[in-house]
Amino acid sequence: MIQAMRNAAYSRMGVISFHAGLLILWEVACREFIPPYFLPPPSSIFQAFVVTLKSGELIIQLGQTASVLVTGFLLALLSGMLLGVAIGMSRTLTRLLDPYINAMNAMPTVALVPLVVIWLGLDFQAKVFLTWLVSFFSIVISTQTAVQNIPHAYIDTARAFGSRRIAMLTKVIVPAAIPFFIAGIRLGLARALVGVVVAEMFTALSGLGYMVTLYGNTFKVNYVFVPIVVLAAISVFLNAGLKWSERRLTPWNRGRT
Amino acid sequence: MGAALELTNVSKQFPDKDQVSTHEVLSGISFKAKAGEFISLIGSSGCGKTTLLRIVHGLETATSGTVICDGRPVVHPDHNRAFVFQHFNLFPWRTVRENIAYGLEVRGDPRGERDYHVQSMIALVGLRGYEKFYPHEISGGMQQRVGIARALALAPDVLLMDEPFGALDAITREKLQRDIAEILEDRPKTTLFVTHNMDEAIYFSDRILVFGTKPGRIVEDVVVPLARPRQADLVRASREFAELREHLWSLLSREMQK
Repeated sequence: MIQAMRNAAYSRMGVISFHAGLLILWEVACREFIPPYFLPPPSSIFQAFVVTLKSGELIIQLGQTASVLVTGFLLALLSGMLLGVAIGMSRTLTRLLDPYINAMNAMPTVALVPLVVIWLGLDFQAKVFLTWLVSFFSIVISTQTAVQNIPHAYIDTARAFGSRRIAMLTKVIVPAAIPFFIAGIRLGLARALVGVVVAEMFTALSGLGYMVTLYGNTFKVNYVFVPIVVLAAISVFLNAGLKWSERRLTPWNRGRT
Repeated sequence: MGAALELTNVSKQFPDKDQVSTHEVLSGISFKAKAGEFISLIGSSGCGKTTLLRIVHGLETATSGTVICDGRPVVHPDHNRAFVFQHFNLFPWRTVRENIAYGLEVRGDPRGERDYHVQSMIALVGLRGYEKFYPHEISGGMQQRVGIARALALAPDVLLMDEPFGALDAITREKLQRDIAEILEDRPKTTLFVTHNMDEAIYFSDRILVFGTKPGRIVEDVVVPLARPRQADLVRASREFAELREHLWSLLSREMQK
């Protein structure tokens, strides 16, 4: 017992010192060989982080990005799940819409940015639309796949106990599909984040993506890393949140292989 | 006490793989079940027993012929009949209690009444203390107890069981058989029971319908003359049991040689 705790403590210390070592290596390499416009050392990135945080710039831009992400992604989630369930439950809809959905999903939708700007301008609604566009189709597809791959035995059993459409949907299809829904949400969210940043970089008015463009164009490389690190942190944080909610929503899946 | 069942000339054809031709799985099945009667359907695999059971429940439609349950033709599943599946088919996202409540929820029973019924079913099938377990946390035998409780909770007139003990090991099977026999002794239902197992069929049944294959049809309607209540060991030791078993075996092996 004590031995095991000691081992765990040692291995945690090992992991921490590994990461610390990497950071030190990076710092030293930047001071000795790598020119700062190529890759700035962590200390100067941290400095830039403190400056942008104190000036309030980072918080404002983060707020911009977050509001676009949340609005666009929630819209995509709602509409994507509705359409996905509808397509998943209807063979006719599958046959009619599948080619479009697949084409739109396979296409790099960010290529539509200039078109979106022509349609909607450079403001909030254009960025929200782009975020929606980038994540919508992957959510439709994963929802549809989830619904269509529900084991037939569940449907059969539900029918045997008198379930018709509504009960079938709420009591069987939705719960059976939740693990797949969440996998789809994770995929869609990753795409949505890409969508927000691309939209912000292209429209170049506000947001973390705008910060990347701005400081990149002015060769303040250590400042470019600030929004990048923040974006990485956001996606790690969101993913952890999703994993947590999956465990909460599907207690029957816990400990099952 | 159960409801009467009447099948008249039920046939079922399934499309072949080529989608053009069809083959007949069931041909001209007719029989009557009196209210409260226990009837086993026995025969080798592929003789359409399960399909017939599904037709009686309304999960599948017959190509021709009619099924009358309690005076009304069967068109789709309703709560007058309940089905027990071979592979339990519990919902993995529902606990034991929630699985048993499923049919009652769909039927729209008020909550208090539902809880009361579910609780008494849990006691009846011996699952007290397991109410909050998920299916993957309990054994196969217990899962089938849940499957049976889910069916009985509806207080159906007709019970349809598709090899309910088929997926269980010998010891679990034996124990569950006795418990189920006891439960049905107290609350007789018109029961159709699909099985491969002759001993099981004799032990439970008032009548045994022996099926032949290609196409599935009734070869003989065998009456089981053993008095009730039956005790498994005594039944098995009796002369009538041996004779019946011999008779069933000869019918089945004749069919298998065809």
